Amino acid sequence: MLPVARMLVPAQFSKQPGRTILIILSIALGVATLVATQSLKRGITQGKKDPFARGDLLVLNGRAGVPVALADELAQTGIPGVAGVHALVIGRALVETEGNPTRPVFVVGWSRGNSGGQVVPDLANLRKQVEEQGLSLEVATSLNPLLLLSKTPVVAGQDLRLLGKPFTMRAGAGKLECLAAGAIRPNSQGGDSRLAPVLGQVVAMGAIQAGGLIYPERPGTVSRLDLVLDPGIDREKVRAAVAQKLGDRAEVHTVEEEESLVGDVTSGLELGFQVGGLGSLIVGLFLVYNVMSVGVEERRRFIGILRCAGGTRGQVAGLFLQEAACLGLAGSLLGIPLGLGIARLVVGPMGNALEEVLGRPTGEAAINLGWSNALLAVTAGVLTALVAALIPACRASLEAPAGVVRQSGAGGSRYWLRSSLPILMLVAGLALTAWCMVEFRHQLPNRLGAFGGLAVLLVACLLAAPLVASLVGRASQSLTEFIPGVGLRLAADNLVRSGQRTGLVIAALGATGALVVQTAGFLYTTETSVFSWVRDKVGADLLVTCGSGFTSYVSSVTMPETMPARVAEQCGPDLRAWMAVRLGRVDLDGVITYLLGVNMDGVDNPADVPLEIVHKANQNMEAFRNGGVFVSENFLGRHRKKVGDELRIPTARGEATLKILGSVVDYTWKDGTLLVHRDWHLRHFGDRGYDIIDVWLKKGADVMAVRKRLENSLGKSDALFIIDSPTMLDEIRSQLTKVNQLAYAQQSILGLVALLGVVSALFISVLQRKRQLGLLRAVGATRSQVLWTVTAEALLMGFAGSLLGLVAGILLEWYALDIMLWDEAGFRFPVLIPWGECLMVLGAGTLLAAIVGLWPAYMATLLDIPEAVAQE
Amino acid sequence: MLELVGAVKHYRQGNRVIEAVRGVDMRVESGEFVGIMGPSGSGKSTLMHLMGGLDTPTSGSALFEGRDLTAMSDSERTILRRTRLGVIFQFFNLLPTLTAEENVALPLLLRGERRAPSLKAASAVLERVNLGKRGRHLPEEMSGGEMQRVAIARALVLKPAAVLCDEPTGNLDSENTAQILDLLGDLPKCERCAVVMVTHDAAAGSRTDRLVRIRDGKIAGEEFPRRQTVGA
Repeated sequence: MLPVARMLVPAQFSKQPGRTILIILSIALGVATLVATQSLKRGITQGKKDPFARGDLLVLNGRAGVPVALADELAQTGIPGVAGVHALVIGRALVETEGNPTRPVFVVGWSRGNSGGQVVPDLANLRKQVEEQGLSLEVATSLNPLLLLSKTPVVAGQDLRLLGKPFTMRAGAGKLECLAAGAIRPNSQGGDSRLAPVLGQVVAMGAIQAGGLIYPERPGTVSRLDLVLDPGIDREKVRAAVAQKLGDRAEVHTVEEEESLVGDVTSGLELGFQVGGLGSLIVGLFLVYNVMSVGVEERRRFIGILRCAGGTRGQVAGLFLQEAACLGLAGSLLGIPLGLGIARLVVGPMGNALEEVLGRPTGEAAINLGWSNALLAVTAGVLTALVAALIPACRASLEAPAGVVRQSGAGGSRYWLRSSLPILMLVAGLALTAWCMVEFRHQLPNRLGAFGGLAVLLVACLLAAPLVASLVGRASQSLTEFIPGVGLRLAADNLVRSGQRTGLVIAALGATGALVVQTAGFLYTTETSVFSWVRDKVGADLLVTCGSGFTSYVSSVTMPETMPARVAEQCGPDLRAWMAVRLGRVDLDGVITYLLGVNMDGVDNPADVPLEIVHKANQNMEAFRNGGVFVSENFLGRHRKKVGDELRIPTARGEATLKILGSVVDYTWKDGTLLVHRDWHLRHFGDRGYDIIDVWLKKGADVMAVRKRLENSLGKSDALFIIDSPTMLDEIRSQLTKVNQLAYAQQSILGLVALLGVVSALFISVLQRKRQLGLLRAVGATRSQVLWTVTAEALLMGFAGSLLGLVAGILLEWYALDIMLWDEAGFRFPVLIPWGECLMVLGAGTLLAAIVGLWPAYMATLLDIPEAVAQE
Repeated sequence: MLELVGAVKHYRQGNRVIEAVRGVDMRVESGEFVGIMGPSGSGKSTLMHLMGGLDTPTSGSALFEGRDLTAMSDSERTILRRTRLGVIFQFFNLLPTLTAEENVALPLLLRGERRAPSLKAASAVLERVNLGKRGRHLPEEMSGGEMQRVAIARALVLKPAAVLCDEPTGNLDSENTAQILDLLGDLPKCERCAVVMVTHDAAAGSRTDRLVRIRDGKIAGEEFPRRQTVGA
């Protein structure tokens, strides 16, 4: 059949360019979303990988660090299977050079050889470490020997432009005078180093020196120990032996476990990407099905001739499938670069979010597709077209040669409800299944109930869409009694009798509208709740951090313990109160939880600040100082705890017990926050620095003037970031919007696909109503009246879809907030409806559908009357 | 009333040029029942389309009540069809989702008249074609003959100056054919309108006042069947 297909298929494309372009675009948009999500997923996976990991097992203690002496202990104990122990320090510090602004960087400390021990910093060791990482080192050609003696030799990423220069590094109370003896570069011979993407932010040195900078209060502390194991050894056996040796001094994780801890954070994002990509492909599939169906109808005579000339049923079906495969391939090839472009648009905000969570550099996530994903994209596009064409192709092959010229015009039916009964029952059954899955989701595997139930419900809505289309048509029919002319009435009639075709388009429009309303509502609700908390419950006039802004305070630089006093001094008589917080993270039963050490010495009178923790702690100060903890409300939900329960958390001094004294509203972290007294934090972590200082000013004080004063003094000398409340709220809004950028990008694509569906559905409608439209013209309808009746059909489809989307969107928002957010983060926000966006969806959806409908409507006005009425 | 002067109609079919009508002069007066008869592909339907302004001649002119249809805009010709000219086709004359009453009222609604009075007028005309009780029925609930009577009613609701029919009985059995021909035959006398009927049925042609034979796009002859019958 291939020679025949080669003859016929290209001719068909050139004969129907509009139809061809529609199909290609529908597939291209679906493939583009798939490509974008796969690329971003790849980027997330790459970003999650620890660029510094050198071993198979990691010995760590959250953010508290581990004593480097443990490295010697493990090396000397001679645990079978452990080939080497490397101490590693990772932290944030400020680089101060003469004549340049202070810059935040990541500090990396490498141990020498096979253990920690007393490491003498030397360039040879650093060069060896750099080369082992697959990079190369450019050594400064002339270094002042006196500087070499008095300063710590370090190597820095070449982009920092520090080669040969002396500089100071500061992190909290820690300070180090350094000399950049070498610049780290990517390997000129190629090769793939995991460190290459992050070079621009890294200063590397010996582990002991780095530990002294990052953990100044606890000399001899490193961030973790990486254990290299012998090849082929049983990792779990070695792990058990090391854990037994260490006791409660530290924990032993695999590299995969560490990555999976943050995987929980990104998995929601990844799932959202994949669902969006799949959804676009499915919608595109149904739209292509529509267009292919009408192609078969149009070419019935052609099929009859082919059959009469000796073509078998299989050959006829094969012809249509080959046509679909060509269109699918074209769509895929167009969709791949489109998808990569979309991915590049959103990779920036995603990378920032990852660094925020990981507290370490991830580098710019490289957007590349890879051969496997490119093949997946092409296969998906071609398969979508083939699946969409399958039923029309089979239908074409079943045409009897003699019967192809016959066509009876379908009329209206008064008994539509009876014929829709099986579908109604199926929809009801699916809806019930969805309800059960959601209601009993805690008895089902993780996320299956919440996400699976939603998926089942969406399938039910898709199946119900044709019925909805018919209902809207019927409602419109009754309304047209009061509207002059017949245009709207004929449009409504068509909607009713073509529910199967228009229903899918309406479902696609509805899905787009629903997602827009849901995203906007989710954003609005989240923003309002968080803003209300920040503005009313926290109410700080100024927020002070170091090294970076408050939105990425996990990767900020620690401030020394004297900083709150210095800030207070600069605020002068305008100061009402201050509170300083030391941020940390602990692994609580495999879940990353934030631990905040709170210093309330700056609050003389609790009534001075609206902060809930201050008031509650004040009522129970003794218990709070001595092992009491206040937890965020979502912590209780996420960890299934209640007030009065005890928690065992890992600290630098071993495991410690905290008693839950109460809960507060705190939206810092989705898996919950623990607030402990600064004294208790100091006793168990030995940590004197601070990450955030909240400042409350007296009523009537000039907030901006105080901010300026702080920026001019401490901002310059100590790289402080000072932000006022309104600016903070703007940044929160900006962060929330950035996170939703991908969702909006996906929804735009889905919307485009849906609008394409409107165009294709109307072209089908015009084709099927050709005789009708010809008759209408013959009995006195002008071209503009024909234009109106076809456009009215588009208007009704747009309105029906948008209305469906609005209702579904509000329900989806409730579902996302009350079910999914509660399950994922334990937050319970009141459902607020974004009425502005709802009206916009209704108006824009209706208007856009009408606008795109003008094209097929215009084509309908060009019908030749005699030719049209001669159609059978 | 209706006149073609040197009408020629060519149209393209791929690379070919089809000469459907090749220089036809023809005139139909008010109150006349004229049949156009010819074999398949002779151009009889095209002739009717030219007369009714559904199509425009390649050269020559088509006149209606002295007005040159060729010189009119598409809108003007369309307005003519909803005010002065009724058109009936062989089958699928009616819009399937409208009731009989609504189908009959269609031209009135298209010219902007209000729904209630339009339906009332339609109902009255349906009575005249003996379908008064079928006004609320959909086309799918009617026989072929009933549908054609509804189509005739739609033409009559205009109080037209002319009614053009293209094979109105082509899809009907003999009983219905007779009923339709009776109705059409009464129109020139009762409504004082011109009726032009295209047919390939000799029996139908015999009911006309004048029968124009057409072959290969040209008039091949003319007969007066009723005069002959009377004469006989």
